[in-house]
Amino acid sequence: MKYLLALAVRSAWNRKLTLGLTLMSIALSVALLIGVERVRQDAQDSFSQSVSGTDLVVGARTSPVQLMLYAVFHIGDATNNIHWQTYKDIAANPAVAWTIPVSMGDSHHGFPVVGTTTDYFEHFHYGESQPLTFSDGKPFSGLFDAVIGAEVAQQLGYHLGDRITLSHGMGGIGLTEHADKPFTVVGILARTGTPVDRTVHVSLEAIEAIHLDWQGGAKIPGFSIPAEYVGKFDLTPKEVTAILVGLQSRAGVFRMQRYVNEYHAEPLLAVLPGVALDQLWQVVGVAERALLAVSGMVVVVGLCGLVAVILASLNERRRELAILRSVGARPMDVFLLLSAEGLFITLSGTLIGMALLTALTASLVPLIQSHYGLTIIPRFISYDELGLLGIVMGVSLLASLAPGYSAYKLSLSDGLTPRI
Amino acid sequence: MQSKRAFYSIGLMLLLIVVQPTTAFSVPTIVSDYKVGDRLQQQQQHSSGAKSTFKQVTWDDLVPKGWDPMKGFKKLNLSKLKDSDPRAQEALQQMREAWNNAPVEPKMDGARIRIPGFIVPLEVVRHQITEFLLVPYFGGCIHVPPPPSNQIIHVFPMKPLTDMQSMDAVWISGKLETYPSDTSMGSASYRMKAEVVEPYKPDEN
Repeated sequence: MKYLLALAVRSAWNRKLTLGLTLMSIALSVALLIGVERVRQDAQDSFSQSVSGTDLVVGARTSPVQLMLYAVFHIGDATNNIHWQTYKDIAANPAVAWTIPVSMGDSHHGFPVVGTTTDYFEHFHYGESQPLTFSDGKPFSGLFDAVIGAEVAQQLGYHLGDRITLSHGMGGIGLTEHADKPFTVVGILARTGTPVDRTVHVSLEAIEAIHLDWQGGAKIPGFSIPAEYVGKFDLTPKEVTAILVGLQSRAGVFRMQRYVNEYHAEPLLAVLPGVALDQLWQVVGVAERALLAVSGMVVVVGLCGLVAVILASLNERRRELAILRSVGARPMDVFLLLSAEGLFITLSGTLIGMALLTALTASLVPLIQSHYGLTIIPRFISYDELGLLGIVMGVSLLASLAPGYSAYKLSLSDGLTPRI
Repeated sequence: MQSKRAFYSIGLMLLLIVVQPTTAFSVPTIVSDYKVGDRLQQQQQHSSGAKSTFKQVTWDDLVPKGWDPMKGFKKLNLSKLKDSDPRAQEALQQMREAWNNAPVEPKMDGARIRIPGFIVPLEVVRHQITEFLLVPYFGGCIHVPPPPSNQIIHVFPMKPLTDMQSMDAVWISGKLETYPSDTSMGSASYRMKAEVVEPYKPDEN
C-alpha cells in the first residue's frame, strides 16, 4: 500500500502541469463556494447584530422590510415622516418604557446623519444587549454638537473639537452644504460593527436649526439665518422619521403594535425587528440560493474537469498501468491508484482554496468594511462550512471512482499490445 | 468496448451533476404548510419517556376557569341590539378591554408544562434566537386584535435556538411563571425558561 501511494505521487508529479491546472480550478471553485456562503452568513449576522432590545420600530406606513432598512440600517430613503405629536403620544403610552426618535435625510461625506435625543446613547443596544460606549468625549449637549461613529472618525480622521459641515440630502460630496452652520465633534463612539459606526449623530433641534432657511426646498438666495440667531426660533422638532420603542413588558408587543397600526391621527406602521429581519431573509433568500447554486455548479464543473483530465490521461498511461499489472499489481490496486489520485487532488485543491479565501478576506476586510459596511470575519474554516466541504469531498470521491473503474476494466494484454 | 466505457463514465458524471444540486444544495424551503390563523393539533395525552415530567397542556388551560369576558353584559340582550346602537358599540369596546386585561391562571404558576405554538423571535444573535414569544395561532392576522396576554408566553430558551425562524411551530417544555396584572410589569403575562424546545411534528404522541 505504501509503495502504491509513493507510485501515485510520483506518477502525478510526472503529469504536474495538467494536474496542477485542475488543482487550481478546484481550489478556485471551492474558494468561490465557501466565499459566497461566508459573505451570506456574515451579512446576515451583521444585520441581526445591529439591533437588540428594541421591541418595535415605528414609522410612516410602508413595507416592514423597508422601514427596518431605513430606520435601523440607514439603507434607502424614508417614504414619509411622522408628526411630533404622534411621537409624544406613543412615548406617553403606559406600556412604553423608552423611545428613541430618529430623524434622517442629511449626510456628511456620504455618511448618514441621524437627528435624535440623548436617549439614543442610553437605550440603544446592539449585538447581545451591548450598550453604546464612548471611546472619546461625551453625548451632545449643545445645539451644534455632533457625536460620530468609529468608522466616520477613522475614515475622515476626525478628533474631538473638529468642525464639520453637514450636506443636504444623501449625496457623496454634497454640493448643497449647510456650510453656514458648522458642527463640533464632541464625542466618538466605540466600534460596534453595526451601522452606528458609519453614522453622525446630532440633536433633533439641530436638524430643525439647519433647515430653518430651507423652507422653500432649496436655499433662498439672500436669505439666511446665521448660526448665532437660530436660538431665537422655536426649535421644537415638527417631525421625526422613525421611532425605536422599548416596552415595559415584551409580551405586550402585539397590543402596542396594534395600537400603533390603528393610530387614528395618521397612518403608521410598527414592526417587530426580529420578524421584519426574517421577512428580509425570505426576500433575499431566493437570490442567495441562486448564488449558492451557481457556485455549487462551478464546483461540479471543476470536478468534471478533474475526472476528464484523469480519464484522458488513461490513454497515455496505458503502458504505465500495464507494466504495474505485469509486476504483480492487482486490478484493485490500479483502481485504488487512480481513485486516490483524484481524491488527493480534490483534498489539496480544497485546502489551497480555503487558504486562498482566508488570505483574500484578510486583505480585503478593510475595503469591504468601508465600501459596503459589511463586517467579514477572517477565519480559516468554520463548523458550518465543514458540511459543505464534506459534500465536495464526497462528490469528488464518487467522481474519482469513474477513472478508477475504467482503469480496473483495462486488461493486461490491452496495455501491452502495441496498437497502430 | 472503448466507447461503452466512455459512455458509462459520462453517464456517471451526468448523474453527479443532476443528483448533486438536489441533494447537496437543497436548502430549507421558506414555504410553510400553515395558513394564517391555523392552530396546532394537540391530543390530550401524556407522552412517555423524558417528556413525562412535563404536563402537556392546551392554550385553553392558560385561561382561568370561570373567567368570562362577556360577564359585564349578561343583562344586555345582544341579539336585540342593532350594530349602530351606541350600547352595542360600548359593549364591544368593553369586551375588547376585558380581553386586553385578561388575567392569568394562578394555578399555572410554577407548573412544569409542555405546550405547542408558533415562534415570534424577539432577540436574534448570530442566527440564534435567544428570546421569543410563543403564540397559539399562525401568522399575524390583521383582521382581529392580537391574542390577549394570557395567550402569549414570553420564552427564554436555555439553549439558543438554531435553524429556526418566525412562525416555526415548536413544542416548548419548562416551568411556567405567571405575572399577575398588579405588578409593575403592566399587563398580566406568562413567562418560561424553556428547558426543551423541539420542532413540532403533527404525528407526535
